[in-house]
Formats: sequence, structure tokens, C-alpha cells
Amino acid sequence: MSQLDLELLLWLNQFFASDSFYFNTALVQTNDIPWLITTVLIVFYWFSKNDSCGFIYRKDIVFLVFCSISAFILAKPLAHYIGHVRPLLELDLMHTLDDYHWKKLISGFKNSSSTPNDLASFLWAFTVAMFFVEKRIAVLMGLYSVTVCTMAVAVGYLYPSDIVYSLLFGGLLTMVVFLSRQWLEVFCDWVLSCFEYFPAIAYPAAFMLMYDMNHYMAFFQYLLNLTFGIRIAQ
Amino acid sequence: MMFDNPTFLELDRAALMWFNSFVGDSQDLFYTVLFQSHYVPWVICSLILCSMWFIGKTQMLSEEKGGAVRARSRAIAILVLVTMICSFMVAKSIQSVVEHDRPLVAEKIKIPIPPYIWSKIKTGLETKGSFPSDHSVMFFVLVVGGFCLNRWLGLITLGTALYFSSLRIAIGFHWLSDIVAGALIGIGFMLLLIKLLPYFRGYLDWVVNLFKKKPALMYSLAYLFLMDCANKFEFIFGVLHEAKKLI
Repeated sequence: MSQLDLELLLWLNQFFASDSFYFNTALVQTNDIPWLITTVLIVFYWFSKNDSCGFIYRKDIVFLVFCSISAFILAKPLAHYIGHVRPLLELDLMHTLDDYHWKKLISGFKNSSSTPNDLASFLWAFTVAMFFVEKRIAVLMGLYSVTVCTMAVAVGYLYPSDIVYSLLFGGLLTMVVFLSRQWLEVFCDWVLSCFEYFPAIAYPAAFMLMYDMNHYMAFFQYLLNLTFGIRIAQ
Repeated sequence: MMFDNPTFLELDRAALMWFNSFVGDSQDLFYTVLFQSHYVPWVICSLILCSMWFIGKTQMLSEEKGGAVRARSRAIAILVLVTMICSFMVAKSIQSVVEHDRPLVAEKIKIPIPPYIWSKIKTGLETKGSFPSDHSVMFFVLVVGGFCLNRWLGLITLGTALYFSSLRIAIGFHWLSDIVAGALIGIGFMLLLIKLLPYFRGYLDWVVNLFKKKPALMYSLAYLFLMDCANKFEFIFGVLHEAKKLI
């Protein structure tokens, strides 16, 4: 950990812990809201083009979802392998919570590592993929990702350098997927044909995926563990 | 009163003990059933509503006899949603008027989990009446809607309704009579509104047309609504609770 990393973290922590409103907002913003915002954006763009030119557009959205979920899922075992301890576990940070809730929060992160962060990787993968779909929204999404990541640093979930590594991981993964899209076209066409021919099954399945994304892909991870015996997170 | 009738009482008790005997001996199974009867019914409700919205052909006339046309299925899906909300509120009102203790209060059933956890679960439920079951009302509205659109969807919904209703009996949240009464209220409400459908079809079509005119906005809002439905309307009830506090 560099001196700059530590100084930036402590400065942000001091600023956000100066008021309970700032600190609570940071806690909420780094928890459920990013998932809700990204899933609403996915739904919005899925239905934003009419049927005549919607096919290619929807293909991009399938790629976007595929990249972001892959980044989230792959970041978990990678972080576990790297084993970088979270700042709130090794530093004495300022906070506005009472001791009981702060200890409860810390205990929830005991077995997790911070580089690359799953949520940050997801957000950056989503932002980079959004550049292929809608550039203006990608810029806004980039600003939002910076805000969420800053808040994650302020509450002590991540070091500033973790954000950079997550950006590199999520961004590179998305670039690789989008550059090698001709090999994934078959999968993408199959997904779109499901929506075309079996909408009564495909849309509820998509809703289930969105619902699961709002719950940190818990059901997906459970299924993965159940069917292949793969445990991707602690 | 119907609850004092010895035949009903006996039947209710027998059903309670029979269902409870399946889950009462295993702690893991009991936890699974508790989890399943808490959030899963709401998620399934959202999924079925979503399925109803997209069922049927997009053409004006269905290719198969008895097959659903998309516009009609969407009108039915909205009708189901409205009926679910209305009948749920009616069921809640009846629950507050009719004094009927839940089985977990009135009977000694097998609870294989630690008492302090069980007492936490019981706390909110002890003061609420059990007649009729609000979950059962909601599910049987979906069953009628499902059968109106597609036989298979109806059968799946019926199977789901029976499964979750039996879970709620097994863990002592409801009596069999609560489930039956809830089912009758749900089915009755839905059939009545289907009969009256021609009188307000225009309003339903107006909502369906909104989805055609502004699909991105409407589907995003519908997604948020379904997401809240899957989370037991935590957001809407939270807002209402805060508004009530302010008033």
C-alpha cells in the first residue's frame, strides 16, 4: 500500500465521517442503489428502440449484461486469490455508526478481499460496455461509478488503488468480449431468439436475473454451487 | 360462528398436524420452509405477472383455438394486478375485524428451531388475525388469471398456490379454513371482475397503449413496481408508513 493510497483514503474518510448524513448516504450508495440503477438502465434501453432497428441494439445490450455479470463473477475468485485485506479491517477509521452496527459491518467483510472489487468491476465493465450502446449515458455512468467508488473508499471498503485495478479488470474484460464478439454471436442470437419466440418464458427469466443482480447474484452463485460444485465466494 | 363448529375445528387441527409432521422434525427443512414462505411467493407472483404480460400471439386473432392474443392477455394481466391489490386489502380488513388466533398461538405444534428465533418470528404475527389468508387470496387471483390465458400457466400457478398454501399451514401461520376462505375470496373477486371486464376494458386498453407509446419509460416503471412486489412492497409500504407518521 502506497503513502498516496493511504492519505487519500484517510482524507476521504475524514470528510465523509464529519457528518452522519454523508456517511449514511455513502453506505446506502455502495450497497443496493448501484444495482437498481444499472438494472433500470438495462430495461430502459432494451425497450427504447422500436422493432425495426431494435435487434442490433438489443444484441449490444445482451453483450453489456454478459460483460458486467462476468466481471462481477470473475472478480470474486480473483480477489480471493490476491487476498488484499480491506481497509476497514486493518485501519482504525472514523465513522458515525454506533459500535454495535460498526462491528457488525466489519464482521460481514472478514472473509472478503478488496482487489479487484466485484461491485467496482461490475460498474466499470457496465460503463465501458455502455460506450458501445449509448455514449452520453456512458459518460454519466462513468461519473456515477466514480462517485460510488469514492464513497466505497470513504467508508473503508476499498483502497483507491483497488478502484484502479477494478477499472482495469472490468474495462479490459469488456474490451476483450466486445472485440471477440463474432465468436459470441451464436450465443447472443440464441438469447434474442428466446425473447422473440418464447417471450412468456424469456422475460420472466430476465426479470429473475435482474432480481438476482439486485441481490448480489446470490441465486446464481447458489445454482453454480449446486450444479457444478463451484464456490466462487466465501 | 364458523370457527366454533366442531367439524371445522377437527378438520383444521388434523390438516395442521398432518402438514406440520413433514417439517416438524428437521431443523434444516423448517428453515427452508420459513425462507420459502417469506419472500419466494412474492417473487413467484412477479414472475407469473411478467409471464402473463408477454403470453399470446401479437396478431389480432390467435392461430390456435382458445389461444391468447397479446392485447387481451395484457388486459387480463392488469386486471389480475388490480384484483390482487383490492382483494389483498379486503383480506387484511377482514383479518383485523375477525378474531381468529393463528395455529402457532392456539396449538402446540412441532418447532425444531431454537425458541428465541421462533419467538422473534412469532412476535409480529401473534397480534394479527389469521382469517382469511392474504397469500392465498393473492395466489388464487393469479390462478384464475392464469387459466384465463393459458391452461399450462393456470396449472403451474395452481400447483404453486397449493404448494405455498400448504407451507403456510405446515409452519403454523394459517389454518386450512383460512386458506380455503382466501381461495374463495380470490377466485370470487377475479371471476366477478372478469364478468365486468367489458365495462372497463377501455381503461385497461388505455394502460396497455401507454406501454406501446412510451415503452422505455413504462417498462422501467413496471420493472420497479415488480421489483418492489418481489420485495414484499417494502418501498411502497415504507413510503406510506413515513407519510402516515407525518400526518
